[in-house]
Formats: sequence, C-alpha cells, structure tokens
Amino acid sequence: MSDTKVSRRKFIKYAAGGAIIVGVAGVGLYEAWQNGLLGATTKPVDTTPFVIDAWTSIRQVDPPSDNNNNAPIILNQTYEPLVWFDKDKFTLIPWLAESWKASSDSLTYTFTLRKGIKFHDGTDLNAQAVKSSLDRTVLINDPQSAVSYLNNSLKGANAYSTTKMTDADAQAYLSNNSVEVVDANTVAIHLAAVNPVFLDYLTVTDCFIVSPDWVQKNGGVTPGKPNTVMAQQAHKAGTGPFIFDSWDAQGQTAVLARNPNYWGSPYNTGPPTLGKVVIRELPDTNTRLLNIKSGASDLTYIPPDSIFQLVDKDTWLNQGQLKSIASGVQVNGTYPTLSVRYFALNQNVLDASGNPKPVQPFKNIKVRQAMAYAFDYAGYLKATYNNFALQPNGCVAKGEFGYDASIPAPVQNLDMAKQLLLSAGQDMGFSQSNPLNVTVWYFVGSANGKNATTILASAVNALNTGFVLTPNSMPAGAFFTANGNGQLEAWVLGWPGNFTDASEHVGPFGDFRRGAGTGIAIRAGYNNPNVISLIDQQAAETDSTKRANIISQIVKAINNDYAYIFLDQPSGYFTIKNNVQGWSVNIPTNIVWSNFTAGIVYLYPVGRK
Amino acid sequence: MKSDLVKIVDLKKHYPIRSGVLGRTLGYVRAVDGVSFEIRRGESFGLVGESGCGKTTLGKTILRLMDPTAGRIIYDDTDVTKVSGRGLRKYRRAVQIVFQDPFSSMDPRQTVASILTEVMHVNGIAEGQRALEKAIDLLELVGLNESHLFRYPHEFSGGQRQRVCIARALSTDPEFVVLDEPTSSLDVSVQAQLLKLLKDLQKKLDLTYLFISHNMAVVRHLCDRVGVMYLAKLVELSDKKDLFLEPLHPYTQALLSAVPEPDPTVRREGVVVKGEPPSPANPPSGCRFHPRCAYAFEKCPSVVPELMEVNNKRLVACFLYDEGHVRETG
Amino acid sequence: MKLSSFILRRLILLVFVLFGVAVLVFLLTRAAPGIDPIFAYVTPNTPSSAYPVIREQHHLNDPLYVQIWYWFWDVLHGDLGYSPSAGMPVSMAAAIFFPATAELTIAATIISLSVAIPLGILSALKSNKWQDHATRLFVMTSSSMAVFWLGLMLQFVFFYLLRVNGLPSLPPAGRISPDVLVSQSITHYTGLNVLDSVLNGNLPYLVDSLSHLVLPATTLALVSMGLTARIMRSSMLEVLGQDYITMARGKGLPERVVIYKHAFKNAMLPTTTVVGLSFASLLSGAVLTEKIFAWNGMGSWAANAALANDTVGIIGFTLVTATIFVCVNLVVDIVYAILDPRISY
Repeated sequence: MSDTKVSRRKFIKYAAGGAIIVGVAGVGLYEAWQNGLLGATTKPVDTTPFVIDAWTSIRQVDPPSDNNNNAPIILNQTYEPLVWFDKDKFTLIPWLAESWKASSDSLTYTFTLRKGIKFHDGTDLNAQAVKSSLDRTVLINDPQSAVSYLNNSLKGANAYSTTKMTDADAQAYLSNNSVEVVDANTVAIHLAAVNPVFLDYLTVTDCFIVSPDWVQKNGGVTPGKPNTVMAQQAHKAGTGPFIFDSWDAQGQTAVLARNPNYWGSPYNTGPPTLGKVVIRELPDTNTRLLNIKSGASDLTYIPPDSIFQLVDKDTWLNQGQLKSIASGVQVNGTYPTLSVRYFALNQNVLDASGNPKPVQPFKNIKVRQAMAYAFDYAGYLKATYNNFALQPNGCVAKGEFGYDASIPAPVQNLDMAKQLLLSAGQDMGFSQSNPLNVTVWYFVGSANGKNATTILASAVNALNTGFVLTPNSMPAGAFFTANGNGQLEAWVLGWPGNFTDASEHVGPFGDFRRGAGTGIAIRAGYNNPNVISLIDQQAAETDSTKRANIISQIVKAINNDYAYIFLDQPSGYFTIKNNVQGWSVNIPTNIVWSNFTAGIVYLYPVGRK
Repeated sequence: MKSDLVKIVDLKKHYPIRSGVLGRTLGYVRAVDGVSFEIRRGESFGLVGESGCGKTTLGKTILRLMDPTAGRIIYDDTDVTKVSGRGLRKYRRAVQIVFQDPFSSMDPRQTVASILTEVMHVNGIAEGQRALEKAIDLLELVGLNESHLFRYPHEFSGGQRQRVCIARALSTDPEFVVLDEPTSSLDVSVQAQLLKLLKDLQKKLDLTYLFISHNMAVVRHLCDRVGVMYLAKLVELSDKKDLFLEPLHPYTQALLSAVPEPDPTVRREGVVVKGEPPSPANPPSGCRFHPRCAYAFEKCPSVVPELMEVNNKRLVACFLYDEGHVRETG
Repeated sequence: MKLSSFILRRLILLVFVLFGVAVLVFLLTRAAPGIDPIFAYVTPNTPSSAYPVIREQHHLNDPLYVQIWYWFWDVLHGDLGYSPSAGMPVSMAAAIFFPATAELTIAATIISLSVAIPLGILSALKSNKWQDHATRLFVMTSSSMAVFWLGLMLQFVFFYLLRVNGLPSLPPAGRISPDVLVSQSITHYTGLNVLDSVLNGNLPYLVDSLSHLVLPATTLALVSMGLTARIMRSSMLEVLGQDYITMARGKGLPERVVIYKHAFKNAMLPTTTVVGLSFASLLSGAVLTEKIFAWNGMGSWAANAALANDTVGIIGFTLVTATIFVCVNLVVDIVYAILDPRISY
C-alpha cells in the first residue's frame, strides 16, 4: 500500500514556503506584564478588529475532524486541552487539568481538573465533559484528523478503529471505559500499553475539550461520521480566551469575540483586551503583502520568496538579522518548525512486481556516504529558503524532546566524495568509461525536490567517477504510488512532526517494520535491527533522561548508516504590525500540518499600543 | 406619349476600395458608371443584366437608399438628387422598393401588422386602429387576409412573404415601385402568380414600375421598355417588342439566346459569350464587353462607345452600328 | 411543441446526461494513473493498519461496476459523498461554493455585457474607422491579458496606491470587510451577499459586498468581454447588411430606431449563445481569479480537490458543473425563443 497521503503531500508542498510558528499559550507572560498588559481587566477593550490574513483554506472547524489545514489558528484561541506546552521549554504543563499523575505501571493517568471553569455556552467543565470529548474523537474516528494518536493509546480505541463502526462497535469501545469519570473533577485515562508520549498526544486539536451539551444540540455523535454541523458552523463550546462567534464558510472567515469570563491561563489572569479577532483566508501572497503594508491586516505570513519586500535582503543573508524596510511592519523570527526534509537513498529498489532490481546503486554504503559528502548544504538552504531553514543534524527536529545539539551536522567534502565513489566503482564495476546511471526523483511542483536533486546531481556528476545522477519528476499521484511501492531509487520529501517529541521522527526514519504509510524506512529499504530495538526501548522508557539518551543513539546510528541525507528544517517567522504587543512565540503544541501554511497565533494576552 | 416620371441623368455610383491600417483609398468599384434613361408614367421599365452589373445598385440609388457619386435623379420634374429631410421623406413616400430576397428583407422579429403599420406610422399616413384597418386592406389587395396579420415572417411561404413585402411597399400609396428581382427566389408556379398580381396592381393603382431582373422571360412578360446593363453601363435601350424581335447589342443577343424557348421545334442560333464578366473595379478599356464579344474589332478596345440612336429611335452602345461600319455576319 | 413540454423533455434528458457524465468521471478517476481512490479517505495520520477497513468501508476492493452501483445507490438516496478536501459533504460544498461563484459570475457578466455590447455596436457602426480600430485594440488587449497580472495590477492601483495615499480604496480580496462582518449581521437566504443584504435591508452590508465585487468581477469581465464584443460586432455587421435594415432606413425611420429596434435585437441572437456559454463556464469557477481575490467558489474547490486527489470531490464537482451547463443551455434556448419568434420547440 502506498503511503500517499493528502495532508502529508500538502505539507511537503507548502513547506517550501517555510513556516510561521507563532506562539502558544501565554508564553509571553513576563513581557506582557512588563508592558502593562497584565491584568487586562483594567485595560479598556480594544474594539478595532484584529485582522489575521491566513494563507490556506480553513475547510472545517470541528476539533475531532481537524484536517490540519488552518483550523488550529481558530481552535487554539477558543479551545483548550488538559495539558499544553510550557513556554520556550517544550515541556508539558497542566492546563485545564490542575495536575496529573501516572500509575506505577504507567497504564493509567489520573487528571484533576481546575475548578470553576465554564464553557462559552455556560455549562461547567467537569470530568464528564472530558470523557465525552475524548470518546467523541475516538468514535467519529475521522481519518482526516490526527485521531490515530489517540487510538494508539486509549484502551480499545485501536480495535474500534478497524471495525465498521456500527452502533454495536461503538458500545463495545465504550464498555472499556478507557476514559473514566472518577468524580466531578477527576478523570482517569486507561492506556492499552505503556506510552511515554501519551501526554503529548493530548495536545493535538483532536483532544481539545468541547462542551458535550453544545455537541448534543448540534448534530450529536454518530460513530464513524464527521459532524457536519460542528464542522461548518461556529460553536460556543470551548473554554479558551476567545469565543468562536461566527464562521462564514463561504468567505472562509472566522470572527472570534473576547471571552469576558476567561479563567486566565496558567500564566495570567483576566479576559483578553482584544474585542474581536477576524481570521480570513487570503491564499494570494501579493494580496496579503498589500494588506499588511497598507495596514489592512495586523498579522500574516509572507513566504521566503517574497519576504525581501519587507526586510532587507543583505542584512538577512549576510548577518542573519531581520531588518524591517516596510514602515509599521516587522518580521519576527526565526523559530524552528518540526519538519525534517530528507533525501532518501533506497537500498532495496523494487520492480513493478515487488522484486528487488538486479542493480542496487545505493546498497553500497560508500555510495551513500559519498552522496552525503557531495551535497552542498549551504547552497541548498540559500537557493531554496533564502536561509529561512536550518540544516538538521539527524532525523530529529530541533525543538523536539530528544534533540541532541552535540551531534555534528554533515559538511560538504568533495574530495572525500570522489574517493568514496572511486572505491565504490571498483566494488560495483562502474567507471568513467562504464558509467552507472541513476535517477533521483521529486514530484512535479516541488521546488525543494527540484533544487535538492539538481544540486546533488551537479556535484556528483562533476566528480567524473562514472556514477551519474539524473534528476527527474513525476506527477504527485504517480510519484507517491511508485514511492509507496519502493520503486524509486532516491527521492526528496519531508516529514513533519505533530508535536514536540522525537518519536515523531525516529519511528518513521528508523523502524523498518512500519508500513509505507507511516514509515520511510521500508520505502528506503533501510533495515537496521539495532536501530529497531533502540526504537522499541525508547517507546517503553518512562524515564525521560534515559529516553533522551536512547533517542540520541538512534539518531547517531541512522546517521552512521547514511540511509538519508537530511536537507532542511524550515524556520518559522511571522509578519506583524509594530503596534501589536504582548505576543509570544513558541513551538505550538499542535503544529500538526498547519503552521507552515498560515501560522498559529495565540492571542492571549495580545494588545495594541 | 406619356410624360416622364423618373429621369436619370449620367448617374454614377462608385465605392472606394480601402486597404491597410490607415484605410487609404486604392481605387474605386464603379458599380454604376454614367447611366441615363427615363421612365414614363404608368409604364413598366425593365432593367436587365448579369448579376453584379450594377442594376440593384442603380435601383437603390434611384430610391436614394444610397447617395449617388455623380449625376442627377429627377422625379416628377423635381431634382431629388440632393433632397434631404422633409423633401426626402416625401420622395420616399412616393417611391418604394420590393427586394429580391423575401427572407432577408423583413425583420424576423416583427409581425406582419407591425411591419405594415410601422411604415404608415413613420410616414404619418395612419395610426392605431386606422393603420390596422389599412393593413388588412393591403393584405387583401395582395391576396392575403386578416388572419395573416399577427404572424411572423417565418410562418409564411416564400410567395406569401413576397406578397407581404409588396403590401409593405404599397402601404405609403406610392406612385413608383422598384421591383428588384421580386420573383427570382421563388418557384416558377409561384412566380407566375406573383407576376400576375404585380400586373393587376399596376393597373388598379396606376403604378409605375422599375423592374430589375436577369430573367429575360419575366421581363418579356411584364415590361413595356427594357434597358440592358453591362458592367455599370447601359448598353441598349428599346421597346420590349423590338428588343426581343431584333436584339442589337451582341450582349443582348447573348442574353436572349440564353432564354429557354417554350417551343422545342424552334431552333435558335446560339450566341455564346466567352469567359466571366470582368471586375467592376478594373473594367476593360474601350467597350467593356469587347473581351467577351464575338464581333469585337480594332476600335472596340480603344474607344468607349456611347449610346446612339439606330433604327427607329432604339438606343445601343456598339460600334457595329456606327456609320461606315458594315456588319459582316454569316 | 409547447415550451413547457420542451423544458420537460430537456430536464429528462438532463438525467441521462448526468448519468453519462457520472459514469465517465467515475471511470476516469479510477483509471488515472497514480490516483489510488483511498487518497480521498485517509491522511498521513491514518495508520496503514486501518487501510483495509477503509477500503472495505468504501467498497474499494470490489469490481468497478459494483463500486459504481454503490455510488449510484448513494446518489439516489441524496448522498453525493464526503469531500475531504472541502471538509464537508459534496452537497454542502456545492451549496456553499456555488452561490459565491454565481454572485461573481453574475456581476462579471453584467459588467462584461454592459461594456462589450455597446463596444461591439460602436465597432460595427464605425466599421474600419478609428473608433472600430480603437475598440478592437482595447478588446484584444484586455482579453489577452493574463488574469493574475491584471488582478494584481487592479489590486495594486485600486487598493494599495489609493489606500497608502489616504484615498478611499476598493477592498483587494474576500467578500466582506472584517469591520462589517463584526458590526453587521445578516441572515443568509441565498448565499449571494448582495441579494441577502438587500433582503435583510442592510445598507452597510450591501455597500461593502458590492465594493468587494468590483475588482474580481472587473477582472473576469475584462478577460471575457473580448469574445462577446467581437461576436456582437460581426453579427451586427451581418444584420446591418440585410435588406430589412436598408428598408428600415428607406422607410425614413430614425437611425436610432433602426439600430436598436431592427439591427441590435437581431444581432443579439448569436451573441446570446456565446454569452450563455461563457456564463456557464464562469459558473463552474474561475480558478485564478478566485485564488487571487480569495473568493471561495467552485474554482477553489475544484482546484483543491484535484490537488488532494479527492476523487469524491472531483466527481461531485463535475456533476454540479454538468448540471449547470445543461441548465444554462436550457435557459439560453428559452431566451432564444423569446428573442427570436422563428424558433419554436
């Protein structure tokens, strides 16, 4: 089965543009306090709408069906999960839950809820509401969402997801009582297996807590079917600083209104100062640029290829500083996204009937190593991203738990590359007079893929070793099918993380047992039993120091096998008016697929000067 | 002899040929090039010639549907060449036209009633109920009836449509009607009915006709005098009887030899005309017929023959009848 | 045949047309290389273990004719399927995106006709004079311009330049301004903002909706008016050469009446066909214009569905478009019958 997946593909396409990652939950507490924004109750409400121009379409707005376009930009302001990430540290802190504790066998997590929090519809946040929300996500089981994380952890959820999802199947799942109401303010969650990243799963939009009353009055819950009422209408069913006031599906515009009764988040108190927030879809970069320059919007995203209309090009490229050249507008950045783009070198290329091909150009490690030495990393980042990206030091993204900054990133060394290829030529029988031609693939429309394949091919071909690379492209559909069937010799794609844990990357890159849909290793013919056993170890390790150590070993092991060339980790930044203050930036919990397209802004406690 | 109703004096109609972005005039198409004749009150004057010879242009120019390039049109002893406004209106009430193609000469979106009354309205002849009543009278006059009043042109047969066109022409109570090949698009049987109608109407309403046609048989049936046009010029003019009995101009002879003879026992000497008619934009020198004429001699390409009187006041433009030239035919 | 039975016959025919289109598109989406129909039902988050169930659920393992049968069964029960790229059922997507496109198309057609028809007439009346050349130059230029360039220029001049110089400006994109959206609320009966604001009697909403229509509608109109103007010119020239026009002038009708009553109305017949066709194709969505002006209509939906391999969305979109085409053609035929008494059904 091919791994071709709609949103993944979308990600790869848009990731070309880099990313905005705009803060999560109140991280700017201290600055906000300094700016006098703290205690917003004393500040008058700012009645001018705060306008956000979003990049891509917001197709639907129900948390359990969040298909990762732009909905988090709305949902993050209006809904809240049990736990969210702490500012700048990417560690989890209690949010709607006051505290949690894990059982000794790590199979049950018990959450104590904060008291006195009300949903926007006036009902109380309690244990039953948490249970209803999580069970609803499992029962709907919208494959467009990130529900599989929850399925992988909750007892009985995975079994349910492989049924036909009839009412009887739903009852069978509910009888597990995997989300258990202990008392009004205590909820226990039972896991199917030990899972050190379970709490991270709770941060994705699927696990936001929604008022069960509201859902009951608006479409209810049908097993296996998305709730189209919730998906296409605004809902006053969250607990966040803003109320989801209206949703114009036609204009793809959301209006959020200040929640006057907001409880204040872990960092702050009082309701927000912004009276209304308007989030609208503007797919055309030029329009967004005109809007922000002329003051018609407050915050937006401009991709790297147009950014030098707002910041000075030389200052950025030479000194790495974002110096504004547009009046009243600043570009803030940069912040790492959780996406890693790679160049896979397939060690086991298959033919159409699934058998290994007779010639395997990348089976010899010397060839793979030579590729890593031949690639012009700096040139690629500049040509593709105008330097709005980092060079990864391995498969784990900077910002994820388990990221080890001490691991060195590869550097270009053409002499080494040439020696390795000459030596490999002797092993494999290719030489200048008897060249070996190899195609390297990208899909039509992928600027990154085109750049990366061209840069590698021109460097390798210039070595005149008889190892000749030819970049080639296929339409996306055909590309992903061939790729999923293991037929591509080498290809360029990206893999984004859904939350800040290395498990999002070590599994796909290292675990050969995964299917082509959730794994890269099988498609690249990369099977290292040592790596696989380390992956299993970290998945069962509850001690975070030990786990980080194992992850570091996995990254080094994969690097030493030269299975992939790691190309880039796009950097986020955002464009905002100068008079806006109190914003804070962090890698958001549910970076999911959306940030690189429009940016997620946490607007509490933002205010205008 | 009857008095002249219409008198044409050296009438010319030239169209400029433009080309290029700036539309420079490269030359002129001489559609009518110096034609003079007169039509007598109450007669049917036939104008014959091949298609493209300028007879339709001549008809439209006489009616002032086109402005002549040069020459004069005198109607009822009044020069109407340059009249405009009220004078032109008055002239147009008195003269009417029936076109060749009954399909293109009526607005497909108008009913017969509207077609007929519009003319009356514009010319202040009748309004409202009176106009409708008059329209019914006109329909009955042309052999149609009241039931046809609110039909559209496409609901009629070709012959009926031409009757409507005639009715429209008659709605201004004209004295002079130009009939521009009114029967040529119709079946032969329908043609005969229509010709009979035209003859009756002429008698009943005391009309004067200019009958334009390329069909010699029809002209023979309807007309009193006949003018023959070739390439924008009149080449022969005479009474019908004389013309059909003894055609003078070689072109007329050729035209007549093309008329089907109803009696198969009559054998007639064929006069064959060579080639295609030349372009009026670039007419041949001298006698315009000379490249196709079986009798052409050295004078023909160099000198333009004028209409001259021969044999009992007949007019012909041909050097064969010039003094001093002996006709040698075998 | 009477008009009513003609319409009935055409509507019955519509069913067969839609059936044919549906089968064809269904087969095409299944035959297209590299498009596994399961793409429509999964995301990267879907574990491969769930794939067999999803295939089973959507009958993807069955032979094609069985799949078509299931699909038709659902359609007959009013279920056109769920379009993941739109995040909603197909019927809902059509109900949401079609009014947006319809509003834009109607506005563009009004602008296009009100410019192209007078220009076509002027061009014909002043045939080969400078007015004709100027008109043809204008029409050719505007219809040859790239939509995205034209759109960007209009935005730059009428929004940005005016705004940064402190002058009243036109909105560059979207269908309604944030402040109007926040301060006014209206009930959407039709999905056409202009019509809805009139029905609600909300003047600020109406003014704002109209101002948002100006730039996208002008862009669409400029690129589509060329054909209309040229058809108008040529059919006008043809009609002006007819005897009844000579006749009408001969009758002494004022030139204005000759042009309007006799020439214009007859010349409108061929123009109606062209306008009808271009109206129908605009109704199926103008991808670039909708993208530039953030106008969420049929074009955006179709483009997103195609990019996401959303076969359900593509089939749904095609059915809606086919219906539009058949209906618009029907309306054109009816208009024809009104304009031209020669035509009967």
